Amino acid sequence: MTAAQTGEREATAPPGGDAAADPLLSVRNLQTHFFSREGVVKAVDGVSFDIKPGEILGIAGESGCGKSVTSQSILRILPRNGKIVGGEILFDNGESSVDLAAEEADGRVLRDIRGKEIAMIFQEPMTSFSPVHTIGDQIIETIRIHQDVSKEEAHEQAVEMLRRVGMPNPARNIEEYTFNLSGGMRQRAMVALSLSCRPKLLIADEPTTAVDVTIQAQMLELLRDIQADLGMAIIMITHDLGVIAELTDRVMIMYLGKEVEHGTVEDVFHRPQHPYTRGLLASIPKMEPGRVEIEPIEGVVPSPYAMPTGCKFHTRCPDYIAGVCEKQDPPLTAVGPGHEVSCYLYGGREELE
Amino acid sequence: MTEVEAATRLETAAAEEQADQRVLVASQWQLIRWRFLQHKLAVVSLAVLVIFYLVAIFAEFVAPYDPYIFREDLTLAPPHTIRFIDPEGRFQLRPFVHPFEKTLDSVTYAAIFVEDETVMQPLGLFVRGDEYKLWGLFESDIHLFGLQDPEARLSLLGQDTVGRDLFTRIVFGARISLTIGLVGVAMSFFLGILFGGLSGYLGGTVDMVIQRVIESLRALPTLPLWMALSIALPSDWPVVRTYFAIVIILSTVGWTSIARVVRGRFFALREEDFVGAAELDGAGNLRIIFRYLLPSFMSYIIARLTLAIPQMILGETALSFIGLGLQAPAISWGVLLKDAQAIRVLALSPWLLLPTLFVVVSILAFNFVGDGLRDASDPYTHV
Amino acid sequence: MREAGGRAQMEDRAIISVRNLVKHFPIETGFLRRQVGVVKAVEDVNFDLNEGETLALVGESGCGKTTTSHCIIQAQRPTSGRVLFRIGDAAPMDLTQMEKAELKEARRNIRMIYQDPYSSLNPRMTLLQIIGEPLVIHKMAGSQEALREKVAELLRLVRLDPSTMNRYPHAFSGGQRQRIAIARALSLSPKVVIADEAVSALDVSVQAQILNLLKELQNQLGLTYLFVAHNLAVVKYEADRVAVMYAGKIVEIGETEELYTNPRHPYTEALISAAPNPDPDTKNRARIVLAGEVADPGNLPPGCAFHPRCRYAEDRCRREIPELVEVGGEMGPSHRAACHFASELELAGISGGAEEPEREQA
Repeated sequence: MTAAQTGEREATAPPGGDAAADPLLSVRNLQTHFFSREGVVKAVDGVSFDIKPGEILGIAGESGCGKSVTSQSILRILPRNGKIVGGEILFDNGESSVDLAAEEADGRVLRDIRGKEIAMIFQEPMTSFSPVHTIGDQIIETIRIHQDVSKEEAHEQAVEMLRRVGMPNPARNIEEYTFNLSGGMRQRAMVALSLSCRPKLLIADEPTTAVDVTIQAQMLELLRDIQADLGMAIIMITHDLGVIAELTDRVMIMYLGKEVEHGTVEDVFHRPQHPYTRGLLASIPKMEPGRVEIEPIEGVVPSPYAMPTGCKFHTRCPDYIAGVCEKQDPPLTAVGPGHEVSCYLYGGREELE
Repeated sequence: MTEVEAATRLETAAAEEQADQRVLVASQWQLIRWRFLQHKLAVVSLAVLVIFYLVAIFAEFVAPYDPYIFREDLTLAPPHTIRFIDPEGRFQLRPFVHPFEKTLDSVTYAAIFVEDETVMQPLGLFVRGDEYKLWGLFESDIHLFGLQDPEARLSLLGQDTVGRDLFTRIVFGARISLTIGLVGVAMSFFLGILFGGLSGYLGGTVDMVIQRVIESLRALPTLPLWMALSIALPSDWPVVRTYFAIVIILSTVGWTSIARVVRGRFFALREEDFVGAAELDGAGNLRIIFRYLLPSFMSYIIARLTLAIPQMILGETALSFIGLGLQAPAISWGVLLKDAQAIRVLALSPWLLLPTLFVVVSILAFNFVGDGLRDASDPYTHV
Repeated sequence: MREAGGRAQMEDRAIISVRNLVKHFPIETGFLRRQVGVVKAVEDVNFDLNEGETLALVGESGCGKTTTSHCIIQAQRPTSGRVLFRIGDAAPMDLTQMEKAELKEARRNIRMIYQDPYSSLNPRMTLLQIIGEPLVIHKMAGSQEALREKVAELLRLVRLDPSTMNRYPHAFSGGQRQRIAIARALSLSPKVVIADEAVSALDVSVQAQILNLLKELQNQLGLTYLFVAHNLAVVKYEADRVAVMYAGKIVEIGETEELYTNPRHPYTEALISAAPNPDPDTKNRARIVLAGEVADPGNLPPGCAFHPRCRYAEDRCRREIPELVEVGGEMGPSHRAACHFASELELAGISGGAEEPEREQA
């Protein structure tokens, strides 16, 4: 397979988004820590990434890697004991760039951005809706909070949005309560709610984890279609590398609060460099004919209260270099255009010595 | 690299952290203790409660006087000021008080107590005073503290309407007021576990009947119910019998909430996979109840009980205050407060309200300890 | 023990035979618990679990796969039907007819692993107590020393350090807990292990460890697995045979490779197509996205329960319930499907997509 060629071609012209455009959201060295009686958990510990308008970025990793905390940090909806202790979250709101990390979590800037510029969908659709209001009421309210439109106009927009997300009978569905809807329809209603103000960025946090595979397929198709339709950027957060491969343009792999590798999905899936990425891909049973063996990553994810020193992965790494990896965090090293890895196998050792 | 190797590699890294190692083999109760100890307010409150109960247990020794011996000349005498500086301005290592001199106001004929600065009566530890029999067993006349002169009286928190020492009476009152909560809760606990357990374990009709009874009981307003029941108590019963009757009255409602908790936990736990697994292991009903169900909610129940004690204490205080609970000669905080009913008292002898302070402190302490226990009671919720 | 009849009722290689298994749950309402309907969770399920094999029950939530497994081990009593169980050359016994004491004996040989390793281990017991519990209950422990030895051996079997046996479950991660649950399941040297979504709650890297561990243990101990799961890729890796369930029924059953490459039921085809594949090259493949939702087992559509979502459905499908019939031809291994048009439809399996050869060229 002459993958390198395809890789270069794709790197110069990524499949989604506009390569030349300025990033819509730029996260710089984000650090989010949780403070509890048992100690401090560095849930996100120095993560940086960009997302351009119209691009679909995947953030993947196993439980405890900090992928969800990253998204909660962006919208500033962290649990009470979570704090952003460092870094910047620069969001381009059209006129200027705002640092979301520096704003008040409940301040005006974030309230304006949340739901209007950046929307979020969750694993459990019921959490997005109030059970005592109709779907329509809630969508209309969201529209009218952020846009100066009449009730009738908002109603029309809401019906239109329900139609776009594939609700079978939008004019009637708008009068319904969420508990009357089936699981799949709730998911669609949630997407409609989140997209009602035409956000520039949609953050999807494990939206397909709790649903069956046929509903998951519906959801992925919906996200793909609606992204093509409305052109917003999407951050897809999931542990399912299958979902990442199906939906996203670029992907960032995380492990214990650190970014271990990022690049285009083609690069990361076909030419994974970091031992963790390689291990993850080798762990997944494949839907391919014939016997394909899987190779698990050995060992266990360390306790968040007893994080390893140096490279967080060194305790499980098959390519562990004694005397190097446990010393210091490896820096991000470019291994191809737009493809970076944080691993001493690819450099960074000079600085250590 | 095998998992064991990886695990040991990880563990050696953390081996210095002895604390971590301890956690791994820590049982439920150890985890609860550690978590509880991190709740500072609860720990302080627990210390306060321990002191209160020690005082209640050793009331005869701690109180400087006999709670029934009155001094007519000291009726409604105010608290003493404990002094270290004598009238000549010299510092005395041993604290002392000036005895009261009683005079009558020439206009109102109200008693006025003036300190007689010519006499200094020093305080002491382990002084001799009124004779008592500790727990009806050990005869003695040694008191923890008091005035060295056995004839004089130290008015630490003032004297009551017939000249009995209020501090002494508060100490003796703690005995009834604090234990009534414990005994009442023990009773609620017994009834609650019994009926809640039956309800949760048997289900069906039994469950329905018990639940309806609980709902009916809970629908009645507590205070009128207690009042109605206490009116039925013969007034010539001895103190001890009245005491237990009051406990039973207070428990009539208390057990219902515990029964509900027990039932709810029973239902929830039966759904847990580890209980299902035990059934498939072949464990019998008794084994499942005693090895799986009870240990799983014992800690939680204890926390709930701690939070239920204040209600009992308040119940006793309220009943006694309105004269339907314990009656003199019994001494409880509620009985003491009955003295403070008159508005005249509030104006002229505010120290008669001091028992309230002890009620409030003990209730707050129980609440804080209960909060701490509740937070600690399920150490497995957030890992 | 109760004898369930002649040997003819069971296939030669079968260790468990499920016959006409039905489980209905009444829908009750109101104060007097009046029955207003019935949820047909499992409806006439038949299959054989052969000695030494891994048979997967796969399907979406509510398809009845978990209820079926619970009815086999009698954690739930079936409404009707038989579950025949046989060890070696002994006469088959019907588990559904057994009393408590008999079941206790039979359950020594049929053990269960649960989905959630956080809920399935008593947090108030040490590993020694958890894994030793079945041995103590069945009075197979002997002395405390012998019990410790046996538990240590079981821990080594699941690749855990025996010196950790005095620890409590909270000291272990999800994957390690699942190893503990496996050790408990194996403590009585069972013949059959029912794994109810045993790896679905685990992260992929750990899931792979457990999948491989289960395979090794099967080879080492000659275990038979009933593997209940919803993840098709995991099932493909783990199972020898697969039974696909929909709305309480088996719609297709056959050997794994055959069923995945040559599905004969439209629902199987759709499931395979919908399963996400961690390969960006397959991103733009034409995917069958089923409309609507899984049929409600409390209110099943007439005829074939799948017909409202089936893109091949015809009039007959709305009227007639299809039988599970042999579609595999006479020579090959058994492959059965419950579709009126199983022999006519051209369905795509995992090799059927056009992207495979394309990827080779790229």
